Amino acid sequence: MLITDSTMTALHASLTGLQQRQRVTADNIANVQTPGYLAGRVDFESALQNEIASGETPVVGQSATTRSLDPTRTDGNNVNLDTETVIATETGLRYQLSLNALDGKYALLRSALRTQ
Amino acid sequence: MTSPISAISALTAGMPTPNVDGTSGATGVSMSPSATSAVGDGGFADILTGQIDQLNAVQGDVDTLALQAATGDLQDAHDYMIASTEARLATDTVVTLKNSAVAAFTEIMRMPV
Amino acid sequence: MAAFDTLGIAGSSLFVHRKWMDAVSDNIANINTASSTGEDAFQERMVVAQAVDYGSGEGGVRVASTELGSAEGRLVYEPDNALADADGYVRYPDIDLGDQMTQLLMAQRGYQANLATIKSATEAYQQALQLGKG
Repeated sequence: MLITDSTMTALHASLTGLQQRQRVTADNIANVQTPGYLAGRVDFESALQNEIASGETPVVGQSATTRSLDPTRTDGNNVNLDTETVIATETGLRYQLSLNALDGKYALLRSALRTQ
Repeated sequence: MTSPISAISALTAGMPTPNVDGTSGATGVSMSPSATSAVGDGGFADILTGQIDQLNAVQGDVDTLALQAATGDLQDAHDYMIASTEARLATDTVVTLKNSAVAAFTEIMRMPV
Repeated sequence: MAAFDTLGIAGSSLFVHRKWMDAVSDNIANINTASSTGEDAFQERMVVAQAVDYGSGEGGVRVASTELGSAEGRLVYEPDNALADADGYVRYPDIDLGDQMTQLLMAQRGYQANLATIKSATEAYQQALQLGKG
């Protein structure tokens, strides 16, 4: 790779996974009143951690969306608005953290190129 | 006339390697043209050409993502931003390498023989 | 665009919640609408929500249908009412004010949760668009 190292690919993978989680959480919040709707959960961290631990280059776009098996209310809906709000806030903050980390890597490269 | 880049690799192949304490062990090293043929793999020219090829591929990726952004098929906004930043930094890197190579060549050509 | 579809998902829910609040306010407005025993009572309006593209995690929600409650209503003895029948009974809608107020609060809470989703998603997207600059 020209300038991309595995850290930058891992950050890219985390951004894509967090974006998918944001979509699914928005879908959960949107369907808080839909009968029979089970909340969705996105997991990209396990695949990413396995790849980093085994030393492979992470793959961008690997995330698994499953339906939560939390107990449902009488209308078959199991979306908990407070849980989803917390997940959404945390996802937003982690997304910005990954963006800042990636920006930091780019700034390092830029300063290296500038000191010529 | 040889291109500046391959000429530089020829010169670096023939140049004596300095010792650890800084003095140059120049005895017995000849800068013959036959030394250049062994440079085919791994010389500076090949490195730079390889980088330029990779740069073309990266810029092609950026174009693909830009088209997706234009038509509304782009999956994630950060995909395009990452690709365009990488392409910009990669272009800067290759241009810097090329400038250094040309500057070194000009410097060497200026040496009185 | 798929890149910013969180906004569309939350937006679809804003629409559904607003329809719900419209139905509830219609019910509350007509809670004391009397009708004669020969006609139907005012029927409670209900909105049925349905997930769009359920399972993909990227759909949102839509109004599947609007249902009407029972037309029976409750018979109330009001002989002085102009609409009373021969026995003095008038039909009132079978709507519980407490239940409607609860629904109104839930609809409002859901609406605000989706507004918060739009706000935080917009901030995240704007930050992503700044990636690599400066």
